[in-house]
Amino acid sequence: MSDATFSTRREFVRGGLSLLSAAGTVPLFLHRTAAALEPARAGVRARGRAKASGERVLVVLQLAGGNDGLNTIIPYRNDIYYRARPQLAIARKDALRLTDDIGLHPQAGGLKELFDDGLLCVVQGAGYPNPDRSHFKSTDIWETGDPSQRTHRGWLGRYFDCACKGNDPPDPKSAIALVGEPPLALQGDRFSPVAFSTPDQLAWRPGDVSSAARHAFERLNHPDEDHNPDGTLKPLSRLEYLQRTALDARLSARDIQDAAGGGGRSRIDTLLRPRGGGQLASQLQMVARMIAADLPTRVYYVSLGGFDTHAGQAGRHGQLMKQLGDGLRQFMAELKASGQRERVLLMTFSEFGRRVMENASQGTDHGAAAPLLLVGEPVRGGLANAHPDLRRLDAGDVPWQVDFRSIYATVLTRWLRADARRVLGGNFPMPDLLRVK
Amino acid sequence: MSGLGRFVSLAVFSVLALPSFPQVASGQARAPVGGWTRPQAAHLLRRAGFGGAPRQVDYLFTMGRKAAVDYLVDYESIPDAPRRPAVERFEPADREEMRALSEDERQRIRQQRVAREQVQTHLLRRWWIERMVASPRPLEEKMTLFWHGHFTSGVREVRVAWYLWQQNELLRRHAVGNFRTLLMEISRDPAMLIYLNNAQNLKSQPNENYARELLELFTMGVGNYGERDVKEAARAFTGWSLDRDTGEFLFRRGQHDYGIKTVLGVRGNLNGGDVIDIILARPETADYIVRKLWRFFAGDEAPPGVARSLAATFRKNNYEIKPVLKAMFNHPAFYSPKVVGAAIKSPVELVVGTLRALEIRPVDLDGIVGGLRLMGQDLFQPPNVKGWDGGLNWITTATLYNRYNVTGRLVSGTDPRRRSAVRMMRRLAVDDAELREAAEPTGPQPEFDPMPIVRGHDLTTPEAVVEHFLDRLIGRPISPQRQAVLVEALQRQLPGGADVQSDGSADAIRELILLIVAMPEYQLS
Repeated sequence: MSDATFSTRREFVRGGLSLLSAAGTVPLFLHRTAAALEPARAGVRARGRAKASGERVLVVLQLAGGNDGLNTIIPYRNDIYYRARPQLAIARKDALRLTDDIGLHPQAGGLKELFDDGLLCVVQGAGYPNPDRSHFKSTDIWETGDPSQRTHRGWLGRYFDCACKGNDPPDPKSAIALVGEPPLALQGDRFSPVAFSTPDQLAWRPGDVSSAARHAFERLNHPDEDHNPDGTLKPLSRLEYLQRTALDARLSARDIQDAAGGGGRSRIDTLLRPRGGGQLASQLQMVARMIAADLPTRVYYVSLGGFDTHAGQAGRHGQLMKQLGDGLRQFMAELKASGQRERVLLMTFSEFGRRVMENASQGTDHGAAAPLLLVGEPVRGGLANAHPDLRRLDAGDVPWQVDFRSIYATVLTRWLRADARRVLGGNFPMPDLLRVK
Repeated sequence: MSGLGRFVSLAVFSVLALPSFPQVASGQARAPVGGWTRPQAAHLLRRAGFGGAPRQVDYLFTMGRKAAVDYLVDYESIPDAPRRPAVERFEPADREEMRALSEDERQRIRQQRVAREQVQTHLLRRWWIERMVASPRPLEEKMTLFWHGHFTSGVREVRVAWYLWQQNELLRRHAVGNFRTLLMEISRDPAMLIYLNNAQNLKSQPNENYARELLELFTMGVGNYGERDVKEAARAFTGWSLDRDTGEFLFRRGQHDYGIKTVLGVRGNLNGGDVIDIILARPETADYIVRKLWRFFAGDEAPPGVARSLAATFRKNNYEIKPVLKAMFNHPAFYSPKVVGAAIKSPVELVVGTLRALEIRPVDLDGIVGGLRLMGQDLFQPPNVKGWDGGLNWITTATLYNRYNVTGRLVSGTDPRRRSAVRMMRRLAVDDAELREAAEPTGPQPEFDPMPIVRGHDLTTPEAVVEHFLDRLIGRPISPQRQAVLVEALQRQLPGGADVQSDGSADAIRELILLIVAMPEYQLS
């Protein structure tokens, strides 16, 4: 791969300050991603912001804390369920009926609508062998895609690692996480995503300072050459890592503004300011706008917390189900309005479900397998499989019947057109969950 | 020596100055023993405390390493008279009385409680930040912060500010005491009993949350015990609860499981205290804790030999914490290039360190509380039971500029017109007049005036000014090219070129400081 092909941070570093101070006239960020992900384009010396039109987008929605799968997708004719949960079970009459024996939480009306429109695919009993019941361990397992816990890189981070060509890590904007801390799922060996929860977080705002100070700031926050003379990447010291992060943040902020069709701070504020609705709805709204603005982003990551319902579960879980259903329904509606719906697939995950038996505090403790939702036009709507058999519990928990890595394999292969075997380090059966080939 | 008068007057507003510090002029200090350098003294003060002004570094330097470590660790001899936070315990509502009320009235009372606790928690945060900035015992606060990230509890779950304050005092009381005592106390601590649901751990229906985290995060680390140990340990802690009327620990005999349990191979009618002793008998526990301490203070993984020797020290001393800290701060590896200048500052270290190094009194505490949250270290609300991961996790595209901006506002001052509407509304929602008054929004942070320092240290050239503030804030050499960038920026801004001590230089020098605190180097300690 010749140096000229990739327009990168590396060129940026070499081009140095002239590029930085010429903001507005010279394209500021040159996209590795489009080139790296699509070899056909790699020859194009796109010295402008490559439009990502038509690129498929994956949105990952984390339900943090361990969502109670049994009260999300409800086996409303199952006596075992009702016996195990005298206080918490959703009454048969209240469940929103999906099939003759499966229903949705009554406050998840949004999900019901998506189901009826064929935009929701439910994979029941998603999990993995020998489930870990620690939040952190199990979250790590889902985020790395490695129950043996040997890897410390995320499954999507590895996807971006694999997608990069030559010596340049992909554009960090290939993945945007609307959370303060970049999730492990998106961390690769060489890839690190952009993460922020408000736009103010991406710029130096020292108040009234001189242009000399601004100039000095840019020089001080500019990475030194990060390649060895032979073109390989230097290992980063912590200082270099900080310099890079500063540069990435600055460039990403400008690029997000550019994508929205105009510069200026007010533009980005408008773009990212959440409107009404729950926290999830506003996050998804930001994502919908960024998708419509055609950023070169392949993966968005959002998170909804509060699912760790050890006590007083009923009210809280109901609110979460409402947020989830309403948020997803609005998200699909916005994408439809902007004409982007066909290129977006959303997938939920939660570190585990909850124990079948309720506890003494009107709550549920950490469990194992749980349903996983796929949402969007590309999905094969409906229930992908049968409800797990509650007569055969695994130490009091719902047993897994679909290894979550086979869902990842389907998404990687059929949606992101990646080499799932390489990313996941093994072959997994690929259930037919998507309508696309 | 002309500068010292100024320092003394600067220190009047607070107890920033370690009070027993003798007056040693900067640059004139000499180490009493070999192998101890001033940059090492500065490193020790940054890590075992939150850093400080040059004369404080000089003080530790003059003492020599061992005495300096003893001074910081044996802090009980340093007098301290902290004020208490404006946090009260509100009795839970009387059930009978509540029942007599209408649903609307009950709702109003509940909302009132929520608002009150939120405001109280905010006051608690202000209080702790002030204390970290002003305490003459910096290690006491640093260790309290360590334990807060270890034995986590968060206000979202605990919901009562009083319990969080009590826990904070518990952690401070035992900060450098005995780890076994600390474990026993924290297992009976109301905030913890609520946070990890042990208050709901009943014989008939055990709640495993506390037992699991006790093993996984508080003592042994994952992989050193099995699922069965968690379940059995949970049974041993059944009935460990609290009395909401008194706000104190309560052992509910009727809810305790007196049956035979087996934890880590030990069988018997075990209770929670027995489980703690079983855990402490395992070598993994000392190893796990000293590694965590090393990560926190040294900012890196402990080399195997270091971890082994510290763990041995911990066990040999019956889990007394002080000997481990002293061994750690005296260890040559603590002063190796892998450690010095290589740790990422936590947001608290960043903010408190800036205030201490420049001797700035924190005025806009509301702004600091919000700033810490933005940078990912919301006090009394760690992200989860694992606490703050620290290290490179502090640095993301999202947090880095927050770090620059929050620190910058301590120097440039804050705009008095910018007030958080939410903060105001929460305060106004409280019907308790006294509490509402205590929560009056803090004033704006004044612009920092660098001139007393410039004159006090008799800095006469732009080069000397840069040198001084780099030493004060970063305390180790940076690359000459990068230093030259700072000198050039300062020179360009100085009016008329020459006299850095004239009042007209203040803006330019303040800009220089803003630049230094927005340098990647400043993120490292």
